[in-house]
Amino acid sequence: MTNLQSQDFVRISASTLTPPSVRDHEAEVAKLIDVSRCIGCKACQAACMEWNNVRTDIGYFEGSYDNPSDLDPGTWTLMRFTEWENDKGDLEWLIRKDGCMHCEDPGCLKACPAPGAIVQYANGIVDFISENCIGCGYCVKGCPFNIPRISKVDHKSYKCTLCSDRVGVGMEPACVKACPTGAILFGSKSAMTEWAGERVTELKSRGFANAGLYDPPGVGGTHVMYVLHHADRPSLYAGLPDNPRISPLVDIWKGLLKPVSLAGIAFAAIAGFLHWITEGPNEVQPEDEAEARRLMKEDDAR
Amino acid sequence: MYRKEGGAFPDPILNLTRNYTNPVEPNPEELAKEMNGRALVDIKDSSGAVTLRSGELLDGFAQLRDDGTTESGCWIFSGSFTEKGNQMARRDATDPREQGIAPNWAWAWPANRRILYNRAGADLAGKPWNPSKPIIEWDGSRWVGIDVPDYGPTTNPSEGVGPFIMNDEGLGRLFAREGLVDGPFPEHYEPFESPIANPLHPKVQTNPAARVFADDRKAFGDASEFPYVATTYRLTEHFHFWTKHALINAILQPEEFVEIGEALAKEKGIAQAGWVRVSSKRGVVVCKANVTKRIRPMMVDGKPTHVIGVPIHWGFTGLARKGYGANTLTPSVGDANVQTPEFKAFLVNIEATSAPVT
Repeated sequence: MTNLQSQDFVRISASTLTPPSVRDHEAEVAKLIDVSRCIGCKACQAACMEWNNVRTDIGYFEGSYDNPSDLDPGTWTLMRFTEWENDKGDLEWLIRKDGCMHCEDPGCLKACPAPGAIVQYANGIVDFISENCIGCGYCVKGCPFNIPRISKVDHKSYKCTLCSDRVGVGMEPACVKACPTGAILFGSKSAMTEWAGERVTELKSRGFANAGLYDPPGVGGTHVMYVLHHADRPSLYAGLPDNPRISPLVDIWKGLLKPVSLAGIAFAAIAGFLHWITEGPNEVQPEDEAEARRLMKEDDAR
Repeated sequence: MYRKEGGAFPDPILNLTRNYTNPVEPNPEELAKEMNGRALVDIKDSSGAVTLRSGELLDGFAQLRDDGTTESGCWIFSGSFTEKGNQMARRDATDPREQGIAPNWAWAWPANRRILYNRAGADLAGKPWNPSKPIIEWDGSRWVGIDVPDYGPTTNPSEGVGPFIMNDEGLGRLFAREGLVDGPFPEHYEPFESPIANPLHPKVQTNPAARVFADDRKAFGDASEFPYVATTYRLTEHFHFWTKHALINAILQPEEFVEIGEALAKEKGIAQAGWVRVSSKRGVVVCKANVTKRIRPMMVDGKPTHVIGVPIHWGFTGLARKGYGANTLTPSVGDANVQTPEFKAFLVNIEATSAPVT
């Protein structure tokens, strides 16, 4: 799903090789989702399905406008609708476009044990290289935003690519192109941050005192950012994590357990070797032969 | 058939001009040129000089003649495809004053005018109301500006011609002096099905000029049997009843539902996404309920009045899940002037039910 090349990789899952640095000068990109301007029309969802050519099953009405009811291998972005009564008792319909946040410090990539199945490009996009995916699901555990979904059909993990194939040839992601209100914007991370600042100022002037930009530092910032009217309470927006961090399990797995297990393997090998040196191989002794013959005789006599 | 059997006046059919490259399947460019119109003979001005040669495309509707020497599909399209080419294909997005007017982007009818009645943007003397955003203004001898004047190009403001040139009096209208069968002043009538008496004048409950057939009138319910107000509407994911046949739209809103407020849901024991039976005097819809904070009872005449929202998009066929037609519930009422159906306000009842057997 990409027009970018291996020379664009700056991080590669489960690899100890040094990634190429030839594209390090590239500006980092970002998608800015201005929740305050979203009307919940789902044009972004339709455009995502069209461009990426993915279709999920026709579902059911399950008690909200969220359809499909969750992200799945064919649903890489999803409008999540929340009806929230604010402190004044007024209703606010909070509509958040959910999908991969493209973390600067991607938990999925860290957790992934399959070499080259998850990569990050110099422009910041985190992409799944499907042919390398083994479907283990560690990326799901590694993701602080609960985004990747494993297909029950081909056992591959899927999520938003930030339209890396479009971005690679200088186009904006499909959802950005389709958005009729300008609620989804795309550009360099610095430009998007700057524009978000203007929007936050505007929202504050309209009485949203806690308006702000969601670019969580716990994952090194993200390449998909939100303008929120209530940036002090991200979890209002269908459970957007207040302070996302990569699960400590990933650090234990990759940080603590990996050297411990490597040490365990090394210890077993060394111990075995030492045992062989000091004790020698385990050979059959004459007493063992005699005992075996005696047992066979007993057996015959019975 | 007309050639063989004749008829009252077969000429328009028999003499239809179809001089296209392929008469059975004209290409869009040929049709666009025909819509624009062309001269059928050499057109001369008053001095006798030829302004337009026979066969040439018209520059605009001012060149049309009522003597059969010119042709055009419709006068408002005249100027859209001229000898200079397809004006509708122009793509110069230049917006000279950054006020949303790009005169060289495509083409707008009539005469590439972007704002109708744009004379109203200037005061009586022809000076723009907002000098920083002039549309057209009087320069002493003619109207100039970034838009094409919707006014006599040399009509002096002192002549006192009103800006709304299509109205007899030349002025904008707050009410219609003529044309409305229930005019001229706006009046409030209740919908034909309403839970209350007309609070403005109880003796005239509904619009006496509305189009209602006798049999349809018999099918009106009242609030004793159908105590809730219903309204039909569309969702952003669908277009009318068409897109239930389109896969992506069907994925985005797969199944029929009605929307009710939390208070009514509690009162009637209706669960979120639970099945409900919505009935009117005319029909029944069985579908799921979306219990939402967005709908609250309205206080009407001192009483809480519950509203039920009925999105319309599902039916007996399509890729989306099968549903009941919303219009089995709605009344057959045509408004007094253009007979638009009264689908936005009618009476229903609602009760919790079990899932239909499939």
